[in-house]
Amino acid sequence: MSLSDTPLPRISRPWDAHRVTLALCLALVLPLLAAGLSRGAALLPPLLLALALTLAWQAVFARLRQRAMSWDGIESALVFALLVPAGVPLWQQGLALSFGLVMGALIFGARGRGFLSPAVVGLSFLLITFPGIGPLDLGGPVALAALPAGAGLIWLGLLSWRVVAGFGLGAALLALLLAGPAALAQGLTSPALMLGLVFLIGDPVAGASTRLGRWTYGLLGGALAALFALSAEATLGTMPLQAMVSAALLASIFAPLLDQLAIWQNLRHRNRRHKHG
Amino acid sequence: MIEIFVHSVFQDNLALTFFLGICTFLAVSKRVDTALGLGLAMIVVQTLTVPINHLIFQGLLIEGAWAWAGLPEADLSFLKLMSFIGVIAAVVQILEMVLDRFVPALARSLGIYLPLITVNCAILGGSLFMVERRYSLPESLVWGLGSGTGWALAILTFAAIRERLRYADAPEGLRGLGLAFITTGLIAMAFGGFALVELP
Repeated sequence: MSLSDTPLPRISRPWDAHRVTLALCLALVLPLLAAGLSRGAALLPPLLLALALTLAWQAVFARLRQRAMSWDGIESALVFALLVPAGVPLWQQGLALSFGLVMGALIFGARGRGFLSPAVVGLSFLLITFPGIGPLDLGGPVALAALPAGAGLIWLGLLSWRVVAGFGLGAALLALLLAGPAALAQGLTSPALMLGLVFLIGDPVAGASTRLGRWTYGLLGGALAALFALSAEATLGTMPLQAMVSAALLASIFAPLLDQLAIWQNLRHRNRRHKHG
Repeated sequence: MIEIFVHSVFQDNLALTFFLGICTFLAVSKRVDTALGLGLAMIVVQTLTVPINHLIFQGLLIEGAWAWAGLPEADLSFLKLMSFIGVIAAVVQILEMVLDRFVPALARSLGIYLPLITVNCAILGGSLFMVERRYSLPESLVWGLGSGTGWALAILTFAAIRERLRYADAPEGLRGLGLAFITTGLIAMAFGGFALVELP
């Protein structure tokens, strides 16, 4: 086969951190608008605080470490502000987001060099440190707004459809096994589940990066989210924020190991093929 | 039983909750395949030593164990630390010889990690917890298997994350062990998520 026979790869402008951040922020516009409609002006102070804190921390790290200023924290800040339940004092939000940004991302370097999503780390910190935080008070429309956002991100290749499919499969299987079909109802209109799937579990930095790894990562995340929700006596439709955040954090922790297992599996396949062929 | 197993793997994880065996945990986690060898050795040794130590403690050391010999007041439980360490060293030694004789491939791949486990504090800690929590023999078998599995799982995830963190661009002072400690903390925070699960 000569070189001209091979189909040329479709070359577009490569993804860099700025374009990824821009795409993710655009995907967040619709859910943010929907949240703004349901919460009104109460959404503004957390949003402004999150943005200001993020830019401040990134400026501090850029200056101290003499690196170029990065903007990727903006997306984490928006996700964090979107997912914090109303009524959490601003100082608690600021403390948690700072922890997430610094410990979850900035000390590892730029975006893509760590292994966790700063929004997930911040939300976990918030929910563990200050127990008794109320449920996520966003309505079904916000959850539905995550649908076009997720579809767009899948189309752009920033959200893996394997992760989404694995998540759906894992959550549905576990809910069916443990609680029967009733627990499945209305998963699509649960804001914590939908936003958490697209923006926390689906975060390309925090997930697995092999094909098989993405399937198992999604399956694990879905199964854990369903398990945590059911043991809090909720269903997929009333998915508590805590369940989703814990599942996302645990799945991210296991993602590198799942990738490694996928690589070993591929190696075994290839070795067997070589032996026979 | 299932509860003991799940608790010992997640909430009561020896490495991440009690910080036992952290020295080996940090030292032998630079590569996933060596972590796998160590983890497997840990599971085997822990599953064997906890029930054996249970038998020795209940049969020889606990207060009243010598009542049949006319010594009802004898309480040898102060000897438990010494005898547990002895048992652990002996089990590791025997296991090494048995593996070398019957499964030489496995013995070679475990290599140095088997003897290394003798000094792993998670193993001794597992036996001491067994005494403190007054587990029965079947319970201590499950606890041994579960806590070994939990430790192995912890070091495997940690090793995989460390391999990925080769691409990290950490500040000068945090490179190496600093980042390893912070990562351990983050993993411990994630495993704590299982505190949510109420088992039936």
